[in-house]
Amino acid sequence: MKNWYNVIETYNLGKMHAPQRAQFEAAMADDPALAQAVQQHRIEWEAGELLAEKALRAQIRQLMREQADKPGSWFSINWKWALLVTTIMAAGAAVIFKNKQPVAPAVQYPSNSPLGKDSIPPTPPSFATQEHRDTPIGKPVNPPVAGRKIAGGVKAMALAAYQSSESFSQVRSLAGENDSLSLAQEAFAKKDYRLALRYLSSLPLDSRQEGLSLRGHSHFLAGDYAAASNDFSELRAGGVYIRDAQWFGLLATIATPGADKNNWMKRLDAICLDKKHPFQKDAAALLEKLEKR
Amino acid sequence: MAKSTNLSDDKILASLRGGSEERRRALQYFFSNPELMQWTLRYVQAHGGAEQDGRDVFEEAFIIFERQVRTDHFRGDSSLKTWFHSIVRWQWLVAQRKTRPMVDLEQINLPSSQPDPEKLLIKEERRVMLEQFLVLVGERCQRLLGYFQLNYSMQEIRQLAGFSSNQVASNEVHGCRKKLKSLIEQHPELQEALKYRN
Repeated sequence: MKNWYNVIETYNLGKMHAPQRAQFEAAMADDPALAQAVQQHRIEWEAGELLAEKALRAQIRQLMREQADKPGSWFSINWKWALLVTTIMAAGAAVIFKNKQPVAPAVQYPSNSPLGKDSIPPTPPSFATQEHRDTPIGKPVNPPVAGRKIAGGVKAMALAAYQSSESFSQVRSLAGENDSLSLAQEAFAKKDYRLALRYLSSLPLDSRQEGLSLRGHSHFLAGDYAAASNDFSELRAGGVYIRDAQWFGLLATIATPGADKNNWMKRLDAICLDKKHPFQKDAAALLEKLEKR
Repeated sequence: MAKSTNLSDDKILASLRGGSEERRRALQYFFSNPELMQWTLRYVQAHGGAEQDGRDVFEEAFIIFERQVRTDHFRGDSSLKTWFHSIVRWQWLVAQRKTRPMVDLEQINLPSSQPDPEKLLIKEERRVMLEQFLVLVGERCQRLLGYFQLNYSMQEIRQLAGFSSNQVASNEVHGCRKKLKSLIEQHPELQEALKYRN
């Protein structure tokens, strides 16, 4: 009988040819210990890969920082191409300008784009309206739907109720200034939520709760409400952010398509009934709006 | 050092599999090569993304590419550039699928002779669970396991982690691997939650 245990990695990494894979899967069906070993290997491999990614991203960031310290190096190598491209573009622009009336620079995204009209633009430049640029961190931040048309459903109400909490701006990391949480905070302050999420792809061990809170808000502001709801859900289990997490997690859940209405209505009721809850008034206002619908 | 843009495919692949200095050179090739980056930005922007989306996709594509090289998934049947472009196209669809689940990954035709790249993707929900679990491993072990997974030599790990000898580094890495294995065994609920379903 073939020793399938020696080829677990080949199977898990998708490197097995179809006939052998079928045999392997049949062997797994007959041997629960083999199936268990495959499962264990996959988890170990994925865990290792997440850690490898973390190390690799740190190297990439370091490289980018070094490159940022050397501006102009690309241009000095490629200036001839740059000149040629600029000339062609200028000539093209001149021709277009002669033949056409100027068109208003309306940005239209295709319907299958994540920046399509029904979705929330995930990167700050897409919704960096004057309103958003001027909103300081720690002050109430309008959700990225401000100024956009969204059907007056519960999602719109949840987004309208979203406010960045005061405590959020006070999130501080215990480590140095270059740790991932500080970098994420900096990116968040610049409304680069995507970058903040990247820094928080692995949460800092010594400031996990702060990281989760920041990641939840970043997910929310980037329009990924399900992910925001997940992050706030972990914070709801306990800790200093529990009240924030109850409120913002609720709003994220409401904004998530297909969320269980009974579940979030119970959570909303619970906040409304808790007179000491810092978001009790906001919750009551939201409930009132929902009831008027 | 040779200009990064002049490196041949073979040299880049060898660099990615090589020692720390060589890997650094490979990283430099990817991240300072305007051709690859510009192509990615153009592609993503032409398909409804913003410039920042393009930069994100570029980094994610590199992470996948590095993984494919390290796990011998990239066999050199196509040119590195062609392969990287296909990963970018794939990665952009994956990014779109996060916000629009209906986006079909089948649209992308990857070179057929290459193994299934989806096997090398770690889905978001699995990431979240694993990240929470990895806290139990401890920060020191996380670092060591990351280096080990990247195929760093014991000498490199010794230098990076400040161990007194390669043997100490080897023992520490072995201890961390054992710890991870035993933690997984002690958490059947994690195994159940992470049961791999194709």
